Amino acid sequence: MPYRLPEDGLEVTRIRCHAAVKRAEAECRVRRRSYRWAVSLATVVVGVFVVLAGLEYVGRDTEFTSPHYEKLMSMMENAPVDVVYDMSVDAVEYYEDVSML
Amino acid sequence: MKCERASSEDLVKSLKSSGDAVRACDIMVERYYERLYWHIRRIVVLHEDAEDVLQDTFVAAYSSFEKFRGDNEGSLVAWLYKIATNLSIRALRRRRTSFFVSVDSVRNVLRADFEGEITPSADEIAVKLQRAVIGLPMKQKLAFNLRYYDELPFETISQITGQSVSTLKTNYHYAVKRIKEEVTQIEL
Repeated sequence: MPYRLPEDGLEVTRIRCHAAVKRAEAECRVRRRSYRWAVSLATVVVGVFVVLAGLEYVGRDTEFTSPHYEKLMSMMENAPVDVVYDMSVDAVEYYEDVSML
Repeated sequence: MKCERASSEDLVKSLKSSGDAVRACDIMVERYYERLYWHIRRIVVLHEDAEDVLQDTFVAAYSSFEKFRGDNEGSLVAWLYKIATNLSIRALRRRRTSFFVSVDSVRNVLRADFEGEITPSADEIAVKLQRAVIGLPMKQKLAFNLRYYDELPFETISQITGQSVSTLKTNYHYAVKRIKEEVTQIEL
């Protein structure tokens, strides 16, 4: 070919090509490591968010919205006193024995 | 050299197994840097530009090897030439005066560059031939360079340029005709 070449011919070009591939490989490794770090960080953030959301869900006041509950409440409110008393006695043992007082 | 003994299939295989990618790329550089350098140089003319494009070619080959679907040396060569050709054309596009003009508009710039790139010991006929080749439109130039200098079959050139074999043959025919005309004109 009639083209002018540097004194060393293409030797430097060859070496530069090898160096360019090595550089690309190193950059690729750094990029891969950064990607792995980013994925780990994102996983931790999502995990913490899920845990916090779970704790918040468990800790909140329980609300009963069931219609059976409403019905039961109204029955309890309108029930005669002795029935309520009997039910309370069933639930908690009151020691009414004179000797205990 | 040890790497030069590796067979083509071994090269493609080792390139495909990610663990050996760097070593395989080194082998690829050893095997093809000279061929690719001259292919690029004939397009971009300047040595510095050719060196930059060649480095970019190997980096692009290394980074996107998973996209390579071939399993033999022929397809590997075609793939490397394709990357080199595209990057060379991209380098030429950067030298255009306007975004809206074709890459062929830099022919005069390349001709001027070539005059400063001629080695004193160059053969006169080779210089005339190169002058004529540089003046060709890009499609004809690629068809001529890949066929005449790199001695690639039209099927491989078709893979590189994305043109059909018949179109390439036509381009090659016109390129030869124009070169003959120009060389004869200079001689007269």
